Amino acid sequence: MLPLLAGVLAWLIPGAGHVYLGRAVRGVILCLCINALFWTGVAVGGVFTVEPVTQRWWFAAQMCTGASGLAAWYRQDRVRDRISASIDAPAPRRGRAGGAAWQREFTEAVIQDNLDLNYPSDTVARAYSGVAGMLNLMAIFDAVMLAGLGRVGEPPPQGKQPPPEEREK
Amino acid sequence: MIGWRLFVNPIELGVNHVWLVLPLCAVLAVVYKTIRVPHLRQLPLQVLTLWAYILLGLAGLGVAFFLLLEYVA
Repeated sequence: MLPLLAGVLAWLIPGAGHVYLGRAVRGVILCLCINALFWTGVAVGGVFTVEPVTQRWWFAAQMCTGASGLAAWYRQDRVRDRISASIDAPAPRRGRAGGAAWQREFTEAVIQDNLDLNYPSDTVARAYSGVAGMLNLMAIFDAVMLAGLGRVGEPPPQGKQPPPEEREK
Repeated sequence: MIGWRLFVNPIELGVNHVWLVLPLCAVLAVVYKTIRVPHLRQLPLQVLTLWAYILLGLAGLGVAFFLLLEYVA
């Protein structure tokens, strides 16, 4: 089992690294929980929960969810482009000061056009999606370590340990 | 005005958003214990125990900070 492949799979689809290592039940539990947490965050906060310009650290955590994070980012980019094309909105700018100024101008333009699409008013949504990414980071680390140690499949049930002569081999 | 769409427009939760800490802590406990427990049979009890510990810890912190603000600061 390749640790790198386990890590990439675990990043791309949460839990896939554990499925690759023969721990299918754990993989399914991880996949359901992490994706549900991430998409609940996006549902609560809206499409701008994933915001690479002004919320870089939250964005970095969100991208640890792999395909879900990338899909939400793609959707955010599409919605922002559509809004920018329909109103007189400024182009995004990089950097902390530029990003904050751009967010202010963009929000003002959205409010002026009476669009019902606000930035999340609190950090609950970002906490949900960011924590989902951090939890997947833990799952990625576990999958890589298990693959590196060659621990494939579930450990044997308690009381059914292999005999000592087999354990010594 | 564009129509409200799930995953695009935010959901207005008001003051009730504080209750979202319960599922957040539950998922945290499930994911952590799914990785940590040696045998999956132990998972439900371990998850419930960790969930209770997290919530009690948060409640304790809340009480401690409340007392700090009320009587010390």
